[in-house]
Amino acid sequence: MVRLLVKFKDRRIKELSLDQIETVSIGRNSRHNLVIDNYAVSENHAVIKKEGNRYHLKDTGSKNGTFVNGTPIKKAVLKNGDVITIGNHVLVFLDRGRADPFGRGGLKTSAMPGDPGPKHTMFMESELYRKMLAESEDVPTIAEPQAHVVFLAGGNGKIKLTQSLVTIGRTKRCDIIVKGFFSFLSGDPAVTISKTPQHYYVNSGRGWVKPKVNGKAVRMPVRLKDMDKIEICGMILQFTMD
Amino acid sequence: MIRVQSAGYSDIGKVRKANEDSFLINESIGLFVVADGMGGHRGGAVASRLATKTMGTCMEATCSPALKPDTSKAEDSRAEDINHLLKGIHLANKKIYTLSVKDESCRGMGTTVSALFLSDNFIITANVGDSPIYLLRNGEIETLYTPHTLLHERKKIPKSMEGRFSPSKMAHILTRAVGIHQHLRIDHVKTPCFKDDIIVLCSDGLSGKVTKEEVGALVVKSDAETACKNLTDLAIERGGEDNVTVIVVKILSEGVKPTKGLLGRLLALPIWIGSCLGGKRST
Repeated sequence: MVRLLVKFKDRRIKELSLDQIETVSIGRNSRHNLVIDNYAVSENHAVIKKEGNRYHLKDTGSKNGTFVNGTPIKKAVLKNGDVITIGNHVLVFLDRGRADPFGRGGLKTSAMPGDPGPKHTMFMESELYRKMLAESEDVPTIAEPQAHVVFLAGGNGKIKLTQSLVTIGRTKRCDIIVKGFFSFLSGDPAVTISKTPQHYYVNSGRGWVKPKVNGKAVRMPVRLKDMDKIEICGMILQFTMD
Repeated sequence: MIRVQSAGYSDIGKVRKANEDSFLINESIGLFVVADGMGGHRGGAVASRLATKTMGTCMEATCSPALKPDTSKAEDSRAEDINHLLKGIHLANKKIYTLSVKDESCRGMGTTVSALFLSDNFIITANVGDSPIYLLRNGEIETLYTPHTLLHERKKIPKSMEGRFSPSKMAHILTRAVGIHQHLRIDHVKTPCFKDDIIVLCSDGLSGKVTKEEVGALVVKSDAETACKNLTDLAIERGGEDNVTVIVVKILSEGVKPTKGLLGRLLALPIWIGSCLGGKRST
């Protein structure tokens, strides 16, 4: 089974079966077998032809070029897993049912020829890895946590916590300014909210009054949980995960 | 400058014939690196040594305290600190790659790199490969690295590749390493640092044997040096098939910014009065 996946920005937009087809012409012009309507693609861009048992890719005078695995080509024989780039689109050539689906050698290890054994670390050849990623879809990325604080007292609105360090204190140098009669008791900064890849922490800064989280004084950095209340000199902020 | 107590320890383990790990501790510039080498019959050790040495020399040249012009730092110069660290790793990558191409006995060598750089109240970590970096803060532990292994990136594997590797094998296949290719992508983390934070860097010889919760429990109990020794012993007791390397860094005090004294407080009084009258707005 021979297939051609058409992808745009990691999303599969089309899939062609090449089993019954001898020629696939590619271009922006609507008379082609595979029409890619994008200005980075030429009217007549490239053609894939079956010759004997193999598939050949030929550039038919495109303006921006045709690439196989990152290398510009005029003509090339396609192997399973080859990544063809045409403009901003990616075509993945898949040829199943033949031995050794990932071409010569398969998994190579940098450690030694063959597998160094189950407990040894080995490196996956980037070429193979790239092909693997090209074939996979919708690469999920682990989103960093997003959070904000909402004023419950001493201010209005909500503030997104995007910086790695947000300071709360009595002077203008702080990101959030504590107001009110007792604000001079708070430090500069009085409270800091810091971000790590997975969590947020609140810690006390300088100042005569220690901040509180859910009523407990903060002496060491405290990991914030959703809906925690941070209190300093009459100002109350609620921490909310997005 | 942040004051730290740090220690590092590396053990060959019970099975391997050579120690392919290496580590670097440079407290004066605040740089800590663990590298776990692999490849060739002597390449692994060469790669990891070259990585730590290159990073040390490179960072020493750019970041020695005497050369630092000013300590009042803004956000942009912190970005610069990250660049110093990344530059060091890129340089190591280039050197290892060049040597592996040139020298037959080092062909195909590579190494993981996990680095910690302490700068102006910030923890900056960067990693390539699967050597863990843990942050222990107020009794809770979390990771400051991205493992570049098939196991971690499993979700990205297409159907055709499923079942090709067992999960235990996937944990040992790296998708990135230093010195394998001319180009390198590095993941990094920047986060504020607090007093009593503990950062642990280790090779997978330790993390494969000891869970991160156990690491957390052990490092809190003792000073950096004893903690290193205890962790290594525990990993070796549980098999020690791989080289074991660990660095423990305890933050004794944050970099102290000049605190305003009583005079400063008095001078701030008019501002305070102003703020009481509602003259200022918060944003």
